[in-house]
Amino acid sequence: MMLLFEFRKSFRSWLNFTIGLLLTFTIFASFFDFFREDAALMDQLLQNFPEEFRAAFGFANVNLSEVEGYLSFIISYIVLVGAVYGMKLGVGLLSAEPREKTSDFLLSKPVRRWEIVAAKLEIALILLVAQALALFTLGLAEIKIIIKQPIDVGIFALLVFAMLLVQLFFLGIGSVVAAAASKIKSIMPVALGIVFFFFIIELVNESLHLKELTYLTPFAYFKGSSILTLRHYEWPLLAIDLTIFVVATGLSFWIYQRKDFHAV
Amino acid sequence: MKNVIEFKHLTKYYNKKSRGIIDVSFDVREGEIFGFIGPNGAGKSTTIRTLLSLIYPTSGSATIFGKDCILYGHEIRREIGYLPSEVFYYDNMKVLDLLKYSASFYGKLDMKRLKELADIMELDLTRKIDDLSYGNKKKVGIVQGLLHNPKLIILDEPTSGLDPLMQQKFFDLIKAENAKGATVLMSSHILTEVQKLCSRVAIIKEGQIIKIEDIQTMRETAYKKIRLTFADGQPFKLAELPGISSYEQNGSDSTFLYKGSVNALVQTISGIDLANVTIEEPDLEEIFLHYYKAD
Amino acid sequence: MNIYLREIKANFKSLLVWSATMVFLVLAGMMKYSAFQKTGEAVNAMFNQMPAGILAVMGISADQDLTSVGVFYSIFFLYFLLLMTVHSSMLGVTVIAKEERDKTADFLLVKPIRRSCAITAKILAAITLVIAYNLVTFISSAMIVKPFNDTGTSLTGPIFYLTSCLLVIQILFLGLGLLFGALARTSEKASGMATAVILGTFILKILIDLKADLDYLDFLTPFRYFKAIDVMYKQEISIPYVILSVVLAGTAMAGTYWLYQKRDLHS
Repeated sequence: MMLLFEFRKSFRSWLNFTIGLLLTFTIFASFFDFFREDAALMDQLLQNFPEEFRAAFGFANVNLSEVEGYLSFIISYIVLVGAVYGMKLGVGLLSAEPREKTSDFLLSKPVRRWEIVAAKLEIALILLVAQALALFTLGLAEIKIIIKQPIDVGIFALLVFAMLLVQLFFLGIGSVVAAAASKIKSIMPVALGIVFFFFIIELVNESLHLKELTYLTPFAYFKGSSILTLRHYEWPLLAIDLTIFVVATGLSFWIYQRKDFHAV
Repeated sequence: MKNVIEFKHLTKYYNKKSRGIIDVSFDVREGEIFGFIGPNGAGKSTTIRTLLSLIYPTSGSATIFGKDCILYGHEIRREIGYLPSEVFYYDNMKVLDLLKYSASFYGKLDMKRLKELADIMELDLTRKIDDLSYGNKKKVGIVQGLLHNPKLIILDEPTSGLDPLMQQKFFDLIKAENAKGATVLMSSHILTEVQKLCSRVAIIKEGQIIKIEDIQTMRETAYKKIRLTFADGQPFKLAELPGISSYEQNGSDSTFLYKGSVNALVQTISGIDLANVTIEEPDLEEIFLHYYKAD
Repeated sequence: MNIYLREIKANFKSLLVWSATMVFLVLAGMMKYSAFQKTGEAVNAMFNQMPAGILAVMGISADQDLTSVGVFYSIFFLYFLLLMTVHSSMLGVTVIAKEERDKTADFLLVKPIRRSCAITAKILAAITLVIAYNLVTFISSAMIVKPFNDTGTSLTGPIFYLTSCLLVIQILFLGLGLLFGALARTSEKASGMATAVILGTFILKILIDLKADLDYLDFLTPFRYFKAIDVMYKQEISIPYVILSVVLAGTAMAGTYWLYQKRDLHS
């Protein structure tokens, strides 16, 4: 029941964000033809640089004039949109009761607190996985229709599910923030602020090439270029991502359990 | 006597299907305490919030002190004290800060009056509003609403959350303000409190005013509550007499409300063998129920 | 005046957090400058041959010496834009939508003031906060960049030009936030709209960056109204875009008044 209720509450914004993601993807996909000519030129230029150098800037083995190369490049923006949604879910779900003044309603019901947290996180996971699957299937279809070129489905899957992994990071962080705060009046300012902060760290990392920052921001964990080269995720970074997710959600269970819910 | 508030065919639909109030027309006269009663969802808050131009009427209008309440809202509101049915305030503010903030909209802050009101309502000015109980927040609302000596006091379900002792103090306070010349419009679904305080009432049901009456007339001249005990224990068909309503038969007892000529009633029952007769004033609760049953 | 002060107070804490983030960003970025300077020559060589599109995506202008402190700083422009668009649009949404969100409309709007006065006070407070955030950016940038600047020419002027451009964009997004706050029924919907605009215009910026001959779409995305390098080194602030931003912000604010004026305030 709780699951169904939370699902119905979250469905509208899930739909909005999923449509937003697909729209972004569609626009990028339809840009491929334009972009190719420029990219081909750039690929040639890049060939003049030593291998290590290209690797450092994320362009090793990346052929931007090919579909996979192009997708590996644009995926970071898809991930950004997805991350905002992941964060919104994380911040929104656990802070819903104090914000909507329904703490007394929900917490007086004969359920354990951890069951509430579990139900909310379960819904979040379902929504995120569904979103990734929707993007994967519809994305593949779009590539077929718009780009009209064969694509390595495995690579595409890795790229799309990179978004899910980044979303998990933010879901975890968001849950902790929501559980720890006594009341979050508006979700989006908090969610956007935090996601953009991490995104900017990644931009700094990218343009200034500061390897140390890689560990600080999930946007650097699953880079399109490395997925393309390795054909799998970088295991240590994947481990960090999942560890943060697990620790953060564990922490949010712990905090929620001990939290005071004040009267409205 | 001048009218302080005049409702003229005020109608509010929230959307096509959701009715707020329909064709509400009545006046509140200067110096009176006017009761506005009806069950939950009848449209009391809608009427009051339109009066304060928080929401806009679909059609019709209302005037306060002779001025249109929408067009001259900001001028009129200087003289209005309003206590909403549910009080919510800004976070992270002390009671005193909030009252000062509220007072800042009306010009000079009268610290003496603030202290006086806070004393009457036993309100601790130094506490944070977030930490207050519902009842205590309500007290903040009362002080806040009366602080600037308003000429018109509008109370939306004022007593919810107050304990009986506080209710009494609050009523005394309102009576005192009224004696000083303030007009009061008060909504409620509890009749006893209206009975205690008000001189006239309007009854609203499903968005429409169904009756406007003096409390006195309503109680004394209109209805009698009559209980008959039949000596032979046999029921008697009284329900057919015009003017009888809310007829209840319980064994040899029958109780009903009667409106009409007392003579006619006495003549009718004179032919019956009775063990006992009581004729009393019905309380408003009973009249009220009657109004709702009747239509 | 009272509503103005109240809004300033209510948003002051969040301004501090945003300011701290900004200072941290500038500080952390510039700390890395010295490290970057050393490897810089090789980086320059590579960057100068890359297509302008890819560089623009990263916030770097082509044909510039990245080892120069000013050019290096100009990369931050994009980061500032991202932080500030979020800050100002969310601020705009909040100041308008908070009374209904927190159910304090029944307190504030039964006071003897016109609704338009309340809106004016709120808009002025928001503009003050936005300017304060801008000043924090300007002052912290000027101070932090100074020790790294060994060229002899002060960068304070160029930084001032750059932050002035930021202010224009801030006001624009503030206006949009205000408008959404007055337009949407709930603050959540309003901030959702603002989010869509930020993400949408940012993605559009990326697309235009990638494909140079889409320049004519620049007017659609404030992220491309000003080019950091040109602003800093040529003092070239595109006047049409300043006008466009101000007109858009003004229209949005007028819309805010209009919409809020005829709005039913639910409790």
